[in-house]
Amino acid sequence: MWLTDKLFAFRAPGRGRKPQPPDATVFQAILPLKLKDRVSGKHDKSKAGDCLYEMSLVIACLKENDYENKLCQKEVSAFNGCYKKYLKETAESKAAQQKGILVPGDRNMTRKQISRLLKIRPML
Amino acid sequence: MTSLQKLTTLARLLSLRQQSRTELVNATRNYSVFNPTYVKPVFRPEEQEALDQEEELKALSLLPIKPAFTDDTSSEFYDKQVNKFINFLMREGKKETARKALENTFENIKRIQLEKYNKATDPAEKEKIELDPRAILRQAIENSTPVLELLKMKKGGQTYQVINDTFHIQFEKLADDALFCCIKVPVPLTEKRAQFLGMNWLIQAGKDKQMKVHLSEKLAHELIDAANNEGRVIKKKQELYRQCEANRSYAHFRWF
Repeated sequence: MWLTDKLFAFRAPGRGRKPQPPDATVFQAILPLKLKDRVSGKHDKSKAGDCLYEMSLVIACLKENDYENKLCQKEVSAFNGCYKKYLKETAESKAAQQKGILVPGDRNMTRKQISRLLKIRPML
Repeated sequence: MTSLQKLTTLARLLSLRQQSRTELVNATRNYSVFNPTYVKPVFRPEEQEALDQEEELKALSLLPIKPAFTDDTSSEFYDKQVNKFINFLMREGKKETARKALENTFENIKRIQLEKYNKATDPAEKEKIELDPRAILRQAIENSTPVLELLKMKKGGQTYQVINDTFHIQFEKLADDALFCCIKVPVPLTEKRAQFLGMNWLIQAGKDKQMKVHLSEKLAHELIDAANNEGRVIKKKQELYRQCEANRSYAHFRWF
């Protein structure tokens, strides 16, 4: 029940605009009032680990050795190995996401996986 | 047949021969016609021997194999790194020119090093002087290859300007002036990218010269300098590291 128009029925003159009667705009359900069976999810991020720690070690070593990377072979090889691993993992996870393979018991699902699940079991 | 007729027929024959040659060159462009099931050729004898020992050669011989490129030879003088360097040196597809330029560079390196060798009186000092130009090129590439790079990033609505070219000091000054609005993100490199940067810096240094000086002369000096871990290219690399160190707080932008 709308009270606004009743309360403001006896308005003093010059006290602003009269409120709109509730029948003037009736809500129309243009689209069905339920969620769609898919998600867009534009911000999927890979969960592969980063190489920040390794990079910081390399930079510290370079500074210590007057920016001569030959003296930091150990740090550099660890850093490169980490980056290679990172690239491989991201490529693999991206491929899995593209396919949208459903893994039973998976809590953190990607958008493709959720869309696939909703396609199999649509919302009522 | 008159002499003029003879000349014209000769000219026609020559032009025909040239045409067939260009066709041969263009044939390499059609390498992608081969089905993806085709296997890349193994053209190095040592690799073939290794495959033979692992008994994979027999299986490989039953597969369809792509033809090898013209510069993929089993010659003793084949050097993968030298070939790559020639390809980076090449402009407008003029491989012959690039190859000749590098050969002249090698000749110049040999001359410079031999002069040093003959001038040296101490035998211990003489031993230290590297006379093989290919070894010098290898060493120069190894010394000039970086392990980090700076990358342009757009973050928080601001476009961060990146000045990666530390060769030109005026650009660097520009970067310092606009420091409060710009960031550079230190990032790791793939093997391929690192190799490209190292080789390309050497080539850039060789090309930064007066018109009168030949590329082969300038490049020879740059290569020798880089092989001795000194000179402009090494300075450029160290300057890049210095900038990476200054911008290490932005490193997380690469991953997050």
